[in-house]
Amino acid sequence: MITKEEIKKMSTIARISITDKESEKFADDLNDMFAFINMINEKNFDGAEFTGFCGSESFFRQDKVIEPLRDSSFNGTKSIDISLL
Amino acid sequence: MSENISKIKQIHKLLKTKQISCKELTSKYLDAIDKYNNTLGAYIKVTDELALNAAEKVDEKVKKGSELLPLEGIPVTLKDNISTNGIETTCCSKMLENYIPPFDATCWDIIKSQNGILLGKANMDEFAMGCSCETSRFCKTSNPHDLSRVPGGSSGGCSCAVSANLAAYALGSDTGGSIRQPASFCGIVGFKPTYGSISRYGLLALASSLDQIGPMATSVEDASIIYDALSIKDEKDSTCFGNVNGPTQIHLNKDINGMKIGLPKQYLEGINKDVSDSIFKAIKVYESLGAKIVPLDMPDIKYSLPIYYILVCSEAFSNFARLDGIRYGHRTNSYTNLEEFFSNSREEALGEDVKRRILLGTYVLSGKNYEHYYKKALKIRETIFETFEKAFKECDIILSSTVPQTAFLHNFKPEDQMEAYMTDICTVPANIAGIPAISIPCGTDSNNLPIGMQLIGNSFCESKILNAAYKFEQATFAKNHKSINMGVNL
Repeated sequence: MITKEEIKKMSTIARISITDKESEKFADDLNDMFAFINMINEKNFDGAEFTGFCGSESFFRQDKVIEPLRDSSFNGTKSIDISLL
Repeated sequence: MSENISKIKQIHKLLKTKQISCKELTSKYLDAIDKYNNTLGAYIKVTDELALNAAEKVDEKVKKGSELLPLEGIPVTLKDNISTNGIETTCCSKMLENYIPPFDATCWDIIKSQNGILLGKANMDEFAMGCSCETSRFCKTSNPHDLSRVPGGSSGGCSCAVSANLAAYALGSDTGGSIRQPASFCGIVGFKPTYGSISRYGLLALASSLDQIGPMATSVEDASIIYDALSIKDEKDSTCFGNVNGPTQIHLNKDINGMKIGLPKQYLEGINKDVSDSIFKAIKVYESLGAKIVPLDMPDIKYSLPIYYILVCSEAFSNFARLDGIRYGHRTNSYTNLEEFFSNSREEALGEDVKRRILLGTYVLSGKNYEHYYKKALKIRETIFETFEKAFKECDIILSSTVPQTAFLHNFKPEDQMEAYMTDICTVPANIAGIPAISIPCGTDSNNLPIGMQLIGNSFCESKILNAAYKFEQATFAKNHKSINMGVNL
């Protein structure tokens, strides 16, 4: 059972100001939703591990070292003496 | 019925044979929007100058006798969560009311490079959270088939515009059914491709692991043409594969004799009688075309909707953290310190459903709830993916209704919050598994409202479901297509 105090705490974490009346309404709504969501506890899914989408081995770009942008962005610029006065 | 029902092909034929110039065609659409948009609320922004400029370029090409590109000269609308350089992209929220992106989403970039005609931005539920297109900051959208009813959501402006002939096609986004559900309610085709086949770059994210851009059109062939044009690998989206199995159009008219169509009993539970009657009539059509129906039992599918809300809300909690008034979005004038600034900015600019989902996301990610809800949801997600993998060893595609009911009335008040979310029950599993699914019209209910049928395929098997959808459409178009006496009828 989610209380309106918990909703207040969540709203602080989520950075959303809410009134007492709103926290009561959201507590009711979330309790309705969790009454449904808690059906996931009917069954044990411990054997499964989420591995990604669509059976793909990797979605990501190849992890290779490239020239840092910082160095290349100074190409062609003049060297300026910025020694302290 | 083998009449050419592709609107894109019809428009190209009219342009090439010079029966109409692209500028005249665009003006017709703009006039129609001007006439009907106050009643329908499909568009929240009309980009007439941009559209007419693009139309001029198309006319020059036609004059020179150059070949037209697949989407060239075709009037389109984009859901308002797809970034358009220099044009407001608001997600229909007060939070981003004045946000003008400095870049284009890849899908719009492709259309623009083909001289596509952007008529404007379409209304949607705030931040794509909703199923009725009533939570938009700007206006409510109505269903062209019955103005007292909703067009569905969240891509309701898109489905309304296409159905009412105020655009030849639209691009929507689908996180749990937001393309297919409104397509079903408005009697058009809505296609959610495999996760990662069309670039999400420039789509304002709701839940990054579920969001997918896809076409909404008046025919399966148009959906296929649009999909083929947009499914290109994109370096800007690390999750984008493009179209790994080649063009789908060449497969549309293949014989489906012997195709195995799975019918999971779980998808038939609790659906409206008119809807189930139409689905069983559709099954008869497939049998008459030589397809074999395979009964399936997929018990774990029932966990799709609860884990969907855990995952969507968790990802939204993270994605929406940037909407704080500093990095993006509305800034409050009422604050005494920085924390108050953030909290009040978000409080003033976010709608009720957005707040509710962010709070749910905060709750399931906090403390022990992370293990109990979020990690468990990921495990169940894998199980559902495996359930589909197993099912596709027994059949080629899966058939179900798109939504358990037809379009509901405006201001419908559900008994509790979950009742409102239940319209997604048939569409959500495809997002959870990242697999492609299409909604096509398959009949009408006793109120003459459109009913949608959903075909689901295995990852990157877009060709199979488009083939099956096309054959069904060809066999039943005259019976199932309800033309609307609005907008531009070619």
